[in-house]
Amino acid sequence: MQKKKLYFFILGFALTGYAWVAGNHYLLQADRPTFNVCLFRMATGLPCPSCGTTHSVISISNGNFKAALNENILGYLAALLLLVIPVWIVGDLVLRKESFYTFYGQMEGYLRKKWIAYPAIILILVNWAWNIYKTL
Amino acid sequence: MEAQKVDMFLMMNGKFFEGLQIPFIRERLLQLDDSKYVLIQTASFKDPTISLVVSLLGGSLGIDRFLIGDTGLGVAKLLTCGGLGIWTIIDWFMIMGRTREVNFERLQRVLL
Repeated sequence: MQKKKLYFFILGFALTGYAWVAGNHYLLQADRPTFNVCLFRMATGLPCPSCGTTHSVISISNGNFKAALNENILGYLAALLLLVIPVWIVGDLVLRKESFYTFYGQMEGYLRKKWIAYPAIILILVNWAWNIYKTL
Repeated sequence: MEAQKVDMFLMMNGKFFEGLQIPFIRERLLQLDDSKYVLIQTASFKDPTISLVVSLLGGSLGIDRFLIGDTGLGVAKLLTCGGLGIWTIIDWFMIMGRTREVNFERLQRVLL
């Protein structure tokens, strides 16, 4: 993907993420039910590997790190990416650099390597099994 | 490269590319040296129909994006329940075009 297209896509995606987390944070504080947008959950009744990430990110923002771990460990990764990536991209755009684009390409390369991909898939599957176990 | 070989390649692999790209690919292949024919023959391309089927079945887990080699976007899709479900639905319509685009990028890398 071209650099500009990728940057604006990820920025838009991150902004949507912030809006989604803020909206859910408001609903949780107002004691209202949150939305279920997971197609996998709607279709099968089972949670997907990342179900609970929003609640986990909200718990992290409230300082409840233990609760976040219990909701979905991927929330930590999502929170980290939400914090770092927009700042990095804006920095790149302002300074006319392409450090994030280079990093993104390198990470894609690493993730395609079998010795990284297989353990990552196993970790995701283990987390998914735990996610399903919690809801049963 | 001989026109016959080029046409044979396009007949076998035309479905992997956008219709608009075919004349450009043909032109480039005709200018290419004969020694690169084996290299092009061995290049593997992703089938847009298979990526659509994968998108319909496992799109909310990002498997379609992983399949076509968009690993970064696959991770983003996986972490967000398929982009809050919306991206999954958009990809049902976009993934075939994106697969052809990726195939074209792959062919260009081989041609260079």
